[in-house]
Amino acid sequence: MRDPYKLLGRQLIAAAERLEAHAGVNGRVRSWFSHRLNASAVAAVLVLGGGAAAVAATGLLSGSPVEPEVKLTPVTGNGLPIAGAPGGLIVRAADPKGGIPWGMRLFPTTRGQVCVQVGREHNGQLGQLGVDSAFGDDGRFHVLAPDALPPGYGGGSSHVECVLSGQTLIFEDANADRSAVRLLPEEFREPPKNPKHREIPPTDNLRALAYGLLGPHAVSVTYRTPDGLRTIPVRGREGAFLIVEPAGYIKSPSLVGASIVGGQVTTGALDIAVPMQQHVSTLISAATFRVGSKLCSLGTGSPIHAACPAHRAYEPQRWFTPTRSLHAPVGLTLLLQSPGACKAAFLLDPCYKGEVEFSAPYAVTTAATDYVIQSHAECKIGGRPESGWALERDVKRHQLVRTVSLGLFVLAPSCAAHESFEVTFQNLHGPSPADPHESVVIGTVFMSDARYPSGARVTGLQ
Amino acid sequence: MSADSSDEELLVAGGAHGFALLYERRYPLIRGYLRRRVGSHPDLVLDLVAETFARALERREQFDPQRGTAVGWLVGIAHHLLLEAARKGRVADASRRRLGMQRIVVADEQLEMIERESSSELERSLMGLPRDQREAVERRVLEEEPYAVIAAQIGCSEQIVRKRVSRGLAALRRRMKESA
Repeated sequence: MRDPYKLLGRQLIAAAERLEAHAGVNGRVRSWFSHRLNASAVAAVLVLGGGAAAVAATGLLSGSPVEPEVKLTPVTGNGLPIAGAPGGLIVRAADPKGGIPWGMRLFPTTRGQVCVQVGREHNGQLGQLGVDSAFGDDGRFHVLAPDALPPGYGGGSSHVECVLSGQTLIFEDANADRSAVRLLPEEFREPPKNPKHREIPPTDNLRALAYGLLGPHAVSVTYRTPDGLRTIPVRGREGAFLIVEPAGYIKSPSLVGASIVGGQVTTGALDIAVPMQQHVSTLISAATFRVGSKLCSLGTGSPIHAACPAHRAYEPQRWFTPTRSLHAPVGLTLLLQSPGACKAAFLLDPCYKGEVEFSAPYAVTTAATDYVIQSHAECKIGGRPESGWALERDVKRHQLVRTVSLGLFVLAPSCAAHESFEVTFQNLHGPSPADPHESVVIGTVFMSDARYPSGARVTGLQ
Repeated sequence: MSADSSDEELLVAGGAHGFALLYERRYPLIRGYLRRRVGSHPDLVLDLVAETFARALERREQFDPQRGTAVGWLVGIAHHLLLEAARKGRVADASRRRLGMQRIVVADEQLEMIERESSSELERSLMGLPRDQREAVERRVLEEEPYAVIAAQIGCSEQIVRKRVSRGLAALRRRMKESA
C-alpha cells in the first residue's frame, strides 16, 4: 500500500532542495520583496523612535505609494473599495517609541468584504515607512492606498485583511515591523536574481501589534502590556480595535510571523477564538461582549468574569455541505501535461489536468458565494486530481464557466467510472436577500465521460 | 545532521535533509493533533498536514529556538491552518502551490486504513473516554490550555475541569494497563 505520508515526505524533500538551490538562504535573516530590493539604497536619517522622534511627522518626505501586489478588479477576490463609501481612519494608536502614530481604516468592497488597513498615519493618510530596509531605507512615507488589497481572500503583504461582513478578525504580531510592512512567506515567491537579506531589527525597532474586528456585540478588548493587563473599548459597529506596544515582552514561538484568528458573530452566540494559544503567550488576552442585556467575556483577564456562550472556533462546523444536487450537466476535458510536469508530481506519464465546464445556475456577486470544484476518487489506483479549488470571482447567471484543475492526475481506465469532479455552489452565510440560494451540488462529471480537446471521447474506457 | 539532532537543529540548520528528518519524526504528532479536531476525515487531515509542513518549510528561517520548541511552532501552524480552513470552508494550499508541490493522490479507504493502523494506543484509549473527560484531557494535557480558559469556554468551574482531567487520566491509565 502506498503511504501518502511517505509520498508527502518525498515531495517536501524535493521542495526543500528546490528552495535551497533557488535562494541559497542561510542564517537567521529575513528577505524582502523584490520591489523593495530594487529601490535605491539611500541612507536616511530615521525619523522614528528614540532620540530622533522630534524630527517626525512634519519632516517626513513622501515616497512612492505602496504598490498593490496584483492588479485587482471589482469582480474578483476581495473586489475593490466602493467609491464614496465611508472609510476614513476610525482608530488610532500612539507609537510607543514616540514616532508618528498608527492608524486603522475600514471600508467595504464591491464584493461584500470588509477590509481593514493598518499603517503609520501622516497628514491624514495611512502608509508605510522606509526604515529597517523597507523601501531601500529611504526614510520616506509611502502612502497605502485603499485599493492596495490582498490578491486573494485573506491577508497580503501589507497590514490589510478582508473578511466577509459579519465575520470577526483578530490579528496579532508580537514582533511587527515599525515600518508597518508585513512579512509573509510569499517572499519566497519569485526570489530576486540577486537575493539580499537583512538582519532582523533590534527589539527596540519592533512593535507588538494587534488589530481586529470583534463584531457589533463587542464592548472591549483586554491585552497584555509590559506593565500588566489593560482593557480598552472597541470602536464602531464593527467592534474595531488597534493596539501598538513595544516589542520584547511577548514571547512568541517565532520571531517573525503573525497569528490571525477568524470567527463569526451570530444571534445568541459568538464563534470567536480569542488567541489564547496553549503554548504561546499572546498579546490579546480577552474580549468582552454584550449578549442581550448581559456582559460576558472570552479569554482570561477581562474585568467581566462571566463566560460568553461561545463555540470552539476550530471545530469544523462550517464545511458548507450541500444537502441536494441539481444534477446539471458538467463537462470535462483532459489536458495533456508534459513528461517533466508528471515526473515532478510523482506521476506516471501521461498525466493530465482537467478542464471542468458547466453552466452557472446562480449568479455570484459577492465573496460570500462561490463555485467550488471538488474531486472524488474511490478507486485504489489511479489518480485523484486534488481536493478542490474555487473560482473566487463573479459569475453571471447561466454563464458558461470553464476552469482548469490546479493539480495533475493520471488516467486509470479501470477507475474512471469512479473518479469524478463535483461542482458545488457554496453560500458561506446561508440564504439571504442578497444571496438567496443555499449551498447545492450543481452536478458531477466522471472521468469516464471526459473528452480530449479535439472533442473525441477518451478511448480505452469502459 | 543526524537522527540524534534536536528538532530545533533540524529545522534551523538541517537543510533539506534535516527538514526531511524533522518531518519523519514529527508528522505523526501533527497528524494526531489535527485528527483529534477534524474527526474522521482522513483526507482533510492529510491536506492539513501537508500544508502545515509546506508552510513550515517556507517559514523555517523565521523559527527562533530561543522562543519555543519546534513542535510548538508546528502545532501553532497547524492550529492556524485549521482555523483558516474552518473560516473559509476549505484547506489552504498556497504554500504547496508556491513550493511546486502536488496534492497527494490516494483513495479514501486507503487513507482510513492508514489512519486506523497509525492511531496510537493512547489515542484509541482517549477516544474511549466520555466526551467531557476526553475534551478536558485533550485541552489540558495535550494542548496545555489553562484550567481557567477551559472552564470559561465550557461554562463550568475550574474545579469541575480539574476533576474531569483527573478522572480521565485515571481511566486512561487503567485502560493502558489492561491492554498491556
